[in-house]
Amino acid sequence: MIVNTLCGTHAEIFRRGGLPDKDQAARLAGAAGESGKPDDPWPTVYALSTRKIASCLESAKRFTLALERYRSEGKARLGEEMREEKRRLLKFSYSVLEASMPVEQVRKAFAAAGFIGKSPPEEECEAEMLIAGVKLALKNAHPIVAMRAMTAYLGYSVFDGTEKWILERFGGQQDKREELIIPGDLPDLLLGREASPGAISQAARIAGPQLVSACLAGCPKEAIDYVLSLICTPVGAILLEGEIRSARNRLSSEELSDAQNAFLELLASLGGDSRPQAGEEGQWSPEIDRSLVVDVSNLILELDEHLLKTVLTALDPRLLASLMQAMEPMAHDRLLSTIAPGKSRKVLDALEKAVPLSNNELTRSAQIFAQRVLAEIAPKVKPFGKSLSLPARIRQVLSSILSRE
Amino acid sequence: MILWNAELTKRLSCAEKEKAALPSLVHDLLALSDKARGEGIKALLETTAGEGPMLSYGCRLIAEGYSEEVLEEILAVYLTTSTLTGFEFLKQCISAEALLGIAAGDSRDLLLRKLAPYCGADKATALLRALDAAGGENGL
Repeated sequence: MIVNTLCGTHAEIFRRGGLPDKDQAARLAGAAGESGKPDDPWPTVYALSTRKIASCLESAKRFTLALERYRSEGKARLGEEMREEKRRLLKFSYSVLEASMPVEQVRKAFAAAGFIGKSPPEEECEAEMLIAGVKLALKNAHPIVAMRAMTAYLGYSVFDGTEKWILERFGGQQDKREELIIPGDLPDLLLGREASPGAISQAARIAGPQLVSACLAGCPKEAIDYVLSLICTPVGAILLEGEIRSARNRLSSEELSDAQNAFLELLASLGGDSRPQAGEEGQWSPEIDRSLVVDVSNLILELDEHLLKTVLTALDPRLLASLMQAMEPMAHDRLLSTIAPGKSRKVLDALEKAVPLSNNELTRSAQIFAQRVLAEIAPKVKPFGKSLSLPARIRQVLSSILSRE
Repeated sequence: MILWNAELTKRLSCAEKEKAALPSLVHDLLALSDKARGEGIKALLETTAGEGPMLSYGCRLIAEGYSEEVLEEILAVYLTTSTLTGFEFLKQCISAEALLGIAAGDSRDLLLRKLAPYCGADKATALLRALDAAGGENGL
């Protein structure tokens, strides 16, 4: 409930003498030298002059940029910012951040340093703003989040200008996008426009930014762009794309695949996905021999990279696509990253067109693959009576696949 | 747990006559949440463009995709530092509560249960009774 949060913010901001009344606010505006804009859509109790608003905005921008550099270059960079900074309040904010102070101690630190509790209210606005920024920075929030939270103290009159600045400063990073494709139903559903925009938007809000970024991390660019166009403003798109990049680095293929499935289930529960759900697709899922999937996945994951590349390059994309039906997502990832990008696309195209194979067909594909692996390992002239020199684990997996009927 | 702050209580207080207008505000906010569920948040941006700052900028904040915790903090700062008091302040608090519900993807039923208490015990009970009588989700 917002009322609970309001209790906290009221207790912090108006700890002395309560809320300024309208007359008091007018006096503050007069004392500041020039009154704020008369058409301000959201006047604040700080009654800041236009000049003071510009000055606070400048502090927020400097803090945001310092935070961005700190996140990308580390603490040493923050030390440099601190030495170069002339404004005491900003210098102190950087020092609190550099000390990695517990979030609940930040306000006390600003009070002990005399930045709040002693200054006139119009000066406390800037301190309050920076306290909010430092707290978010300590929680590892993105600089854009800190900027939005800090400028909230200046009212809605700076909202559009802040958005423009964020887009100018952070917008260029969108071009650095890479692609990682985790085969699954979600990309197909999104690219086929099979779910309503309202349902996708609703599911994204319920899922929250972490799950949304994890499930989009394994989707093609077109699918990501489509979802971003439905759920985000340009500022939101910058934030979500950053989360997507982070999810690709942090999470395994299996986790990304799990996130896609979780999002699909959420979408289905909202009535946005009318396609068959997992376990409802006729006889495909229940029929798959789990031990075959484990064996094929282990073989892909444990083979030497050079050997795997040689074998995969020699195989037809359609055979690789059928092999992928008997593999775990982590093995998909290794297979696709081992072959050339052009062939990878052909495999994915073939996979998209493929019909679910029976257990016998999957076994046959796995055996062809295992035979090719053996053929590569075996020396061209094998001394009679000597067994192949193979790691025990690979020998066991090959034997398990080839002995199937 | 519900917290209490004397300053906030004083700021939220308004006449009973003014509070009579709140159920209609709750209906309007429920209609906005319906639109968000049906057509997505982008549709809401167009609808609220001409509304007051809290709703129009609040919807833009939702579409920037902040976590619920951050969004609540930001909206609370806008409200706390505004010069609004009394009925106008209460109205904006209810709007902020609705924005948080929309951002969280709350159902109509759940959102009503969050907004109704702002109307006072009697009116809240009447609103919830009407919802139950109309069969939950599709009611009101």
